[in-house]
Amino acid sequence: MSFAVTLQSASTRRVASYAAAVVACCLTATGAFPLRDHLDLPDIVMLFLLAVFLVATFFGRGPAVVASFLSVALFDYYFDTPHHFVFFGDAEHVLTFAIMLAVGLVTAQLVSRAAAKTDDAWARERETRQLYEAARDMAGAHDVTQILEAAQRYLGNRGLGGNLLVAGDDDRLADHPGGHHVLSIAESGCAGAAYRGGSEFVAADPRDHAGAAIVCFPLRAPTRVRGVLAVTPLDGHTRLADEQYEAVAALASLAALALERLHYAESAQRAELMVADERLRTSVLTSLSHDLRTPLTTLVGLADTLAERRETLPADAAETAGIIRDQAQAMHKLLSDLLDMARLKSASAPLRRDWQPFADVVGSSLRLAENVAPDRHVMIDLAPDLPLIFFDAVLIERVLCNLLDNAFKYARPGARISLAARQSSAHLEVSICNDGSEFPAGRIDSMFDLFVRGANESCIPGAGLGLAICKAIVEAHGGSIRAENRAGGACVRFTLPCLTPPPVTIEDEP
Amino acid sequence: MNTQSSLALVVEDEPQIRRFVCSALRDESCRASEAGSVAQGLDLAARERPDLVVLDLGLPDRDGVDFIRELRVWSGVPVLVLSARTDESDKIAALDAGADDYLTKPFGIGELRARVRAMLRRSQLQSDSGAGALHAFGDVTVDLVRRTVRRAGAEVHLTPLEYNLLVQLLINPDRVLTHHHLMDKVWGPANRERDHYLRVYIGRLRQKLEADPARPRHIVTETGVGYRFQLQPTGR
Repeated sequence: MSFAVTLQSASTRRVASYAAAVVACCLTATGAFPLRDHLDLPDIVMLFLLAVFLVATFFGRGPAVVASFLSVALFDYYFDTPHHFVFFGDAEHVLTFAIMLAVGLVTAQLVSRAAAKTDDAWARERETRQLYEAARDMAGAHDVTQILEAAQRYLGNRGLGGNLLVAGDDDRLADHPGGHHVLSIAESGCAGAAYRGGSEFVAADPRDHAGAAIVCFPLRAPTRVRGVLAVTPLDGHTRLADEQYEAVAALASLAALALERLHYAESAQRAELMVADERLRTSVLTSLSHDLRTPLTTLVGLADTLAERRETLPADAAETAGIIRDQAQAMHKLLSDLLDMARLKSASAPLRRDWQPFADVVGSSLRLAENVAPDRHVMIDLAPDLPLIFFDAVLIERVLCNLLDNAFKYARPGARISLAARQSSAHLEVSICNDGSEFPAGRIDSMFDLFVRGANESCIPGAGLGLAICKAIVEAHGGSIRAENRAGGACVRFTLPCLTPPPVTIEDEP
Repeated sequence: MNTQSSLALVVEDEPQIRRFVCSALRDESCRASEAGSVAQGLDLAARERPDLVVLDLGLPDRDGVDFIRELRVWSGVPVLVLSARTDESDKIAALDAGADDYLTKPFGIGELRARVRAMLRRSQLQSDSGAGALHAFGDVTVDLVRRTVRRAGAEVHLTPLEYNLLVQLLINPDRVLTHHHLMDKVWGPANRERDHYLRVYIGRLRQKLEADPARPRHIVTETGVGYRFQLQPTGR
């Protein structure tokens, strides 16, 4: 449709179309006049009928009626013999006129109906295209702002303004900063109601300060309601037209899907980042552990080789070799503690838990601990009917060894050291106690913090990692650990949860 | 025991570690040949037919577990694994592939020599017409033919599963047996997932056969890996 046509006023257009009708009839008469001796009269009537049909097609009903009258008059005057004007003079001309009028009216009617349908189709096509564009923009959106922009473009085309409120994981609706205006209390109330309620839309009541209606559409995605689209009419309108609701609801479902996609893309990215982070951490720890252990292995092995040759070496050389070996071992212990601590502090430190009797890990821990300190003896007191416990044996062995090691280090030679375990309601309670030495009063609570040591002086080897590692391991198992002084000695107690063990059926004794 | 002619193969890429391992082996009257990679190690193992292999798991060309798998196709020679890895799953993989024992780095020379001695003793026993039907440890004697177990002369009653488990331990002395291995042998592969049974039965065997069940000296736990039957207990 040309731009010029739209500039003309409606009345000018109307006059022009009547003029065109007159011109068309005159042209037909002029064109047919030289042929009147060669054509039969019905043929000439057909030419006028064609003119009326064309006028009706292009200019509508009014001009068609004018063309009908004019055509009959011109035909009557110029073509029908004798050449004189007897309008409606005989029945034949009345019929011709009636047919021409009918053709004109019916054609105009059909054409105007078709035009209305075409306009309708155009409008629908435009609507679909806009919705499609919004969908395309939202599908490619990388953040909420881009989704909002796409929504606002779409709404702007229909004379509406919009604001997107995104629901966080805590169900709180956040007003998006790119929105048209800050939400009033009424708007927030309407948005909250739309978010929580199941209905398709909620209109704010009372309306906002300008008197315009706010309609809130919940953004319902497959998994949950992702937020609210708050829509207000712009340009001084006070309410949404009825046909707008359906269109905005379609936009809302597009925005909901886009937000959901964004949410999952973000969580996937976060998870991927975390996995990569964890993988890096593990690989650094592994290679660090390997690279530091290899020279330590050489150091321990070579020094030990020398120390074993006691007979062939000078006494002080053999002794020196023994010291080097012990120091390298101590360094290895420290290294292991640090690496273990790093591993336990990482979020995904895996526990290899199995159902097993607690006595098993006590036995292996005692073997390790008493090998290191052959002059110590531990009193064992395990309740006879302990259930199977679900724990990581390697880590709990570490806890027991660290606690026994501490008990050995801080107790006087010959002091009584005991390890007891019993079930108390839903927990296994383990205590390791020594006689003679106590924890420094007032610092008991900080004993399990990193690098905190019982004795201020460093005459006792250690770095203050032991109890911190114990705490990390016990807590990873869902237990708790605490230190306490009792009459004439110190105790560390820890618990492990007693879950429901799998059944064990023992065969009958033969 | 005659270990004069024993030959040990040391597969380890770190020359300094190889050096003191070989020195310790010589102290156990072993000749030692050295390899720095899996390929070289397999080649030497095929040519020299060693009586013992000491193997590092982290080798430059391939994984040590691959070495064990390939070696086990044609040789039953005892394999002692040296592992710098603290993750138990690596040790389990090596043991399930056919290794006999492991040491975690760093280790003392005394420990290494004790393991080597035990392994040589075992391979000696196996080449000398097997261990026979009579086994004794501590104050316990087991007659595999009569299926009787006696402790300090008095008969001990074992359930069939307890007895089967004990037999598995007895015929593999000084060897680390993984949970999977013992479950397969005693309960069958279908019951692998129920390995708490194994732990309960080990506890019952200790109650019946160990002098101090809280401090087992023969049926020893290798934490996170499995169990070891120690014929001659070390330590106290």
